[in-house]
Amino acid sequence: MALHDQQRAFAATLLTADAADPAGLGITADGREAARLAVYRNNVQVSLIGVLEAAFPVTAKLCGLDNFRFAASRYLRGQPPAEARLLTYGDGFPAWLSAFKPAAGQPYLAEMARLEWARNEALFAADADPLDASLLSSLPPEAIGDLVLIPHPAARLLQSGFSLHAAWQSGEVPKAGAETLLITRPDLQVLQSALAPGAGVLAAALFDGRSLTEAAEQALAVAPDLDLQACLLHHLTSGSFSRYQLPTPT
Amino acid sequence: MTQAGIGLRHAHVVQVLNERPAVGFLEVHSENYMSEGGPRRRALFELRHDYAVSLHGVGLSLGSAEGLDSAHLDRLAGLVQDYEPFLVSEHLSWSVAEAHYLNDLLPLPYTEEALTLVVANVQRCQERLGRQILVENPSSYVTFAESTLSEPAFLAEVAARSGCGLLLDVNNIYVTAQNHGLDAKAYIEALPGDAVGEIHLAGHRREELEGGVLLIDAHDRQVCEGVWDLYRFAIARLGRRPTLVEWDNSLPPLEILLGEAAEADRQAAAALETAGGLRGAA
Repeated sequence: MALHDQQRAFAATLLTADAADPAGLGITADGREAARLAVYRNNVQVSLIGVLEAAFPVTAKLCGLDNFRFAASRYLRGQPPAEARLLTYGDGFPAWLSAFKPAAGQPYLAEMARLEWARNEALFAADADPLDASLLSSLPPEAIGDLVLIPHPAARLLQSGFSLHAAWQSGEVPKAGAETLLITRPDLQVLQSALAPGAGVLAAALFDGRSLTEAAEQALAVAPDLDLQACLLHHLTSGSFSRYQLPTPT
Repeated sequence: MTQAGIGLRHAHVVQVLNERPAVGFLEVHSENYMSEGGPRRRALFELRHDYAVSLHGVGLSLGSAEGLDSAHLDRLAGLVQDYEPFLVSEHLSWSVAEAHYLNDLLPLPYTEEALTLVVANVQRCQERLGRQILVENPSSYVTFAESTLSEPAFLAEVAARSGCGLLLDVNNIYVTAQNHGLDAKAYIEALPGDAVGEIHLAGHRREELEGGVLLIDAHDRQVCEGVWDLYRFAIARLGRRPTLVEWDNSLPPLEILLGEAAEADRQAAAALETAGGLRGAA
């Protein structure tokens, strides 16, 4: 058998079949081929389940470890890693989990997985200095409203129908309720905060590339009492943005 | 300071940063540092000022029939540029098929077809990195009926044709020899000693399997006496080589791992003394 075909068949029996099947692989092991092949199969599956467990620890706790491992074993059959850089493995897991029938009664599981993946992305994203408040104060005041802030490479904004922030901290089942979460990594540590509804609208507009004035208008429309300065200060100390752009004169 | 190095694992990084233990070098799994940024990369940047760093890849898949993943190779080249490692190594195995990465070091048949493929992949890698790499002998649990070369003969040919060096994993030789009924010392004697640029040591697990014993390359415990014996044999034949103790699962406190590195130094010294004594007597 050509090597390419042999490796495809070998991979298929490790990843997709219900039991390791040595037939047709050309391997020899004193009549113990199936048991020996199962060692490889076990290495592949157990190690990849371990990678997912490490990336989604709170989701795993909420699922129960055995249930999580079962879900992970099904996920990896359909979506094995596309590359050897396993710190990216699991990016499709939250969406997959949201459609996984046995978890249909616990929609918060996929939401918690989304949060954990956002934290994982923040951890490994490019490093950048957060926007410095003194840079803003060096601008003429009339220009501030037109500023567009560029999100920091590690910053993520996540909107959910569950109170994920408290549940992530406590490990308890998230309560239903809209929440906007800000995840950042200004330096070495991943930071996470829940934003109040008006602050969430402001953040979403800013992350969407709206100018400060436009974003403030959108936010004040839903929360007239919003303290814009406090919101901006929170973004600056969290490291939400790394650069700014001024509109090009027309 | 020990001459032997340790495999640096995430759980030990903070302690190593704070205490800077006296070890010969630090080896990391290349793939774990293939991020754009983040604390892992930063820690290794700090540590490379105080330690020689070795990049040990588990994912390039030199034995893949579909060839190397260009993006992965580019990322490895980026790491080599960023961290200036004194050693770069990969395995004689495959782990990618149909663009899926299987996260294990899977076995190759030792045929002319596989040899041509591995040599081409090693050459492509070395050209992209602009340097020699070391290729490690794997632990294996099956062999292939179609193999026409022994594993050491295959490795010797890969080194001769590609110009790569070899990473002699003594534990893997012990495991493979036991699993397939081979003579581990004869295996070492069959390798081109000059090509060996590094030695690995690790612990393995014994499993009862359908009435037989199978050794699993688990990296989850201390090096056993059989592997130390084989290490002394290798050192007596080759002389000293950069030696690394690997421990990946059931990770012990750092002190235990450092103790294993110190033990490797003692074993190497004992082997050289005995070898010198034998030569002196002859």
